[in-house]
Amino acid sequence: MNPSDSQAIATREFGPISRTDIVRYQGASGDLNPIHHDVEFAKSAGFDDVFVVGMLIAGYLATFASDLVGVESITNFKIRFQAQTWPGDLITCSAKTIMQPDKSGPLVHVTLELTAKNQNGAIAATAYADAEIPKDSSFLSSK
Amino acid sequence: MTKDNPAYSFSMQVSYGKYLEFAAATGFKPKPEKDHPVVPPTFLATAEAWLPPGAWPAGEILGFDLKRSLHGEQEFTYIKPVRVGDRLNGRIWLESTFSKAGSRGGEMRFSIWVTDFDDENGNSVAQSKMTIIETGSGK
Repeated sequence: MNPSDSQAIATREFGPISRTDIVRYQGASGDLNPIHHDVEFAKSAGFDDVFVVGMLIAGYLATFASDLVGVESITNFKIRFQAQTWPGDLITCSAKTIMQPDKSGPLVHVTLELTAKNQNGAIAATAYADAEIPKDSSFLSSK
Repeated sequence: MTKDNPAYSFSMQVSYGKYLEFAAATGFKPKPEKDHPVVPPTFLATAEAWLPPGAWPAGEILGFDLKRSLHGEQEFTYIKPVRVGDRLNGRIWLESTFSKAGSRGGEMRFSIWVTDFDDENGNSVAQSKMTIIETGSGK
């Protein structure tokens, strides 16, 4: 792998996201902001419908990253929300490695750039996951 | 408000039930409880479940209007892995605020909230950083 090796290494789909998926996430997280499940409240705030809680998209990207490099190895996860996601949207997650792994130590530092796009190709969120992975990780041997 | 004078302090049990619930919600494949599994990277969002119902520091402290507020960015940093069975002590505090002119008129207000998570011995374990934006009223 080298620094210019920036093509997507994997993709994964989540959804279509149902209202039940939103409620399940909100119940699990404890973030019960009604704008994500109460249509009347969302309309009173000027929206046509409820929109997906951003942290659900973050959760999908984090699951995707964990499955790629191993959940134990991730030391930082950072996400910027860029566009709203709506009930029924299908989210496609893709990952790129954006740093050259340093193979000098027992652990190799890798940064994943993760993108979540909806079915129209609009970017819902971009995230970065830093990971310290063992040299013998299957993630590295697959490169 | 500072780190030493937080908006909320709370104690959080990383239970296997909450781990399973969060895994089911985010498509994460859970591991057995006996392994004391490491939680997924955004699991600490569940800290919110340990606050009083309806707690929302951006509204309470800065007067942000919930209907005009958005979650702009979120970051989790792990000094060591968080595992099922851990008990964490958390403190939420306001790191900074700033304003910009909104593209649709009015003022956009930004606030950055940090939650520090310590173990029971007072050692730092993880940190969450959340950016909440209140959009301008002139839409």
